[in-house]
Amino acid sequence: MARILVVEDDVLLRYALCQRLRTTGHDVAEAATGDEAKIILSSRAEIDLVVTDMQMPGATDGASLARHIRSAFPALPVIIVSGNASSPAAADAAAFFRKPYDLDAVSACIATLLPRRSDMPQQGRGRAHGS
Amino acid sequence: MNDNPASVVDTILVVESDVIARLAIAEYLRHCGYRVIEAASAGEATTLLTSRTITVDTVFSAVDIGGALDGFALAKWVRTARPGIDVILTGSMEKVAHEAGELCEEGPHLKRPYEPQQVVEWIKKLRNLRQKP
Repeated sequence: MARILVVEDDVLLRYALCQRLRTTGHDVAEAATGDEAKIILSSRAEIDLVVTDMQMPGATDGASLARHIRSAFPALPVIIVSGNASSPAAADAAAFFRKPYDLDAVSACIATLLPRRSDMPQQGRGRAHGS
Repeated sequence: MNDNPASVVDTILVVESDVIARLAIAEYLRHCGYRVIEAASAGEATTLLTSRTITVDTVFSAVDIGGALDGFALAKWVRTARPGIDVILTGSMEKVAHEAGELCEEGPHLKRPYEPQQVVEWIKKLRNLRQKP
C-alpha cells in the first residue's frame, strides 16, 4: 500500500479520485490547495506519490507545487492533471492527464510508477517526510 | 439508512480548514473503521452534501472554518437542508458558548483541543439516538 497525496480544489473531483484510490488499497491524504499540499509534505506524513491539479487558489498552483517537489523531494513522482491540453509544468511531472480524466487510466499510471519506487533501496527513495 | 447496525459503516464528513488537524482526525476515524469524506470549507461541505451520490451520516465540523459559512451556519444549513444528519461542532469554548447562545444551536460541542476518542464517542451516542424509535 502506498501513501498518495491528492491535491485538487474541486471537492467532487477530489472525492472521486480519493475514494477510487482508497478502494484500490492506497492510503490517501487530501489537500484542497497547493498551499495545503506543501504543509502536508513538510509535516511528518510520508508520501510516495502526488497527484495534483494545475489551477488552484492560493499562493501555490500546480506548477509551483511540482517545481517545489522536484527541488525538495526529487525522487517523489508527481502526476499533473489539468483542464488544459498541455502544460510546461509537465516537464516536472512523471505523467500528465487532461481533464476530464479517466479514473482507471490515472489509477493504472499510479500502479506503474509505484513499483519502480519500491524496487529502489529505501535510502534512495524520495519519500517526503519532514524533520 | 440500513437498520442493521452491524452491517453499517457510517460515513463521517470532516469539515476543517486546518489541513493537519483535518488529516489527523480523518485518519483516526478511518482507523476506527468509519468511511470519511474531507472538506476544507463549509462551501465544500455543502457541495458534497447536495450531491445525490454521496451519503453522509454525521458531520464533524470546526466552528472557525473561514469562508461565507462558519460551523454554526453550516450546522443550521444541515438541519434545514439535510435533516437526519448529525452534526458535531468543535471550537474554542468561548466562541462556541457565545455563538451557541446567540443561535440557539443544539448538539454537541467539543472544546479544542479535543481527544479523537471523544469524537468517536459522540458519533456513537448520536447514532444510538438516531436509531431509537
